[in-house]
Amino acid sequence: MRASIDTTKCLANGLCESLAPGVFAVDEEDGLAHVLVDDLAPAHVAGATQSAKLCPTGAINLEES
Amino acid sequence: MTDTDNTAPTCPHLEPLLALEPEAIRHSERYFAALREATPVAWIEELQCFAITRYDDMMEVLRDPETFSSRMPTGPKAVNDTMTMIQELMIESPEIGEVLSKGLIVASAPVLLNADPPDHDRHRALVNRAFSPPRVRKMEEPIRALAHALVDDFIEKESCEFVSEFSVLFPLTVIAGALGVPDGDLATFKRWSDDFVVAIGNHLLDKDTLKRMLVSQVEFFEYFTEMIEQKRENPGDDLISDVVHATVADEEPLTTMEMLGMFSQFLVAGNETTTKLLASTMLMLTEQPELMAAVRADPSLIPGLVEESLRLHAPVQGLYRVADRDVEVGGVLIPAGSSVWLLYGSGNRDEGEFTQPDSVDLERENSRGHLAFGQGIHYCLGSNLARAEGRIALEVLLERLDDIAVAEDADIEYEISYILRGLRELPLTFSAAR
Repeated sequence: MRASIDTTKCLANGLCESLAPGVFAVDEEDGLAHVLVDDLAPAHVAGATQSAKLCPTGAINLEES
Repeated sequence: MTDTDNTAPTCPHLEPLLALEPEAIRHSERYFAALREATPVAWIEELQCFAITRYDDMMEVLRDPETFSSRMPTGPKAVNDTMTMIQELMIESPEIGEVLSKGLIVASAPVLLNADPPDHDRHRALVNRAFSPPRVRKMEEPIRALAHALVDDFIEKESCEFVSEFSVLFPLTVIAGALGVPDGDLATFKRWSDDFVVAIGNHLLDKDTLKRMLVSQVEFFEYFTEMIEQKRENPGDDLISDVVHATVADEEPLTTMEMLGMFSQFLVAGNETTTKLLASTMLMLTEQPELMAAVRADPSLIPGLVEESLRLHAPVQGLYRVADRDVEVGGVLIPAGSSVWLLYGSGNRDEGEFTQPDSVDLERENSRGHLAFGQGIHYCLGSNLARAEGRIALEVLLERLDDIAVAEDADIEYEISYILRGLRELPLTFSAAR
């Protein structure tokens, strides 16, 4: 599974990095969330799925790779 | 408005709450539940709006800013009542007309909370960074030191009035520090903050209070106009300097009026809400000893506690949107031009979204899906800061204070508002932890 972020929607509220710390991180310089890994490890899938569901602006997309 | 004859049911469920009866304010969730059960989208005659009480319906509205405008976030009744009173004030005391109209202009400039795209998105793009997780992490150490210093001031008494001695001062000092306001101006700052929210969810307001609010707006305006000029010349390591010098490629810089609107929202949002969150959480802990024991035994549960407190006692119980076209929500036609009131406090206890919604579950899987910070493009700008403040305050309080209880003769009263939920005071007793 791969994750991507629509940076035009990102509000830097950091829900994603708190729910899936190894997958997402908000960068201090640009104030936007970034995806840290190409392919999600099985252990990351639950957190990433929850992030995609709870992201307030729906900025996270997940797709099967 | 195409037609005032609408198909939404009207209902009496909110009457005691809208009459601002203290018991109804304290247990607002009961009135919300009755409304959610009977008529999830209901016309509320007293407020001239549709109340939306189901989680899913609210999400639909919050995720559709093209249809639903934020231009009147505290609702049509508050706006109309205020305008009427201002007109009367102008006639009664024309000498203060200039102050009144100036105050009104500052109070109603469309910025962030009450702005729509594309302006709103431009504002957010310029300030999102300021409250991002890495920025807030850098603030944590001084925030923790502040929490300790406030506890130092009352710990020997083995009692405190928690609202005035902690939960007001804590976020106030943090936001004033972030803005770069000198400590000597904190009391003035708090007065402005209190005055700015008096009209929210309280239609029993009198003219003197309203006049005070507008005078405060003007004082605030003058104070920060000068501050902006200073920071333009001599930027410092603070939020005002960040905002004054903020630039984003292809975006117009902020106007002075936009900056003033922003600072006034930072002041209020950074203050009133966290104050209420902390007091509600402490009350919750004293009322549920097993919960207190659980978070004491395992402080890693504190973030979960903060989320549950936000969900169950959201400091902002609901805000409004205006429909810009005819639209259906939950099977009810909302005619263009109508206001809808999104009752976050109700959505947060909707059993369709949260299992056992009235109970605290520190490990709730969707704990962060509550609506206390709103949802969609207006999602609270300061949510990271609020979460950090809540967590750190509770860590320090539980570490330093044992046997926390509400003082025996204490009255538990809430502020008079059907939108803001906050305790007026919370007298506590405790012993100093060894």
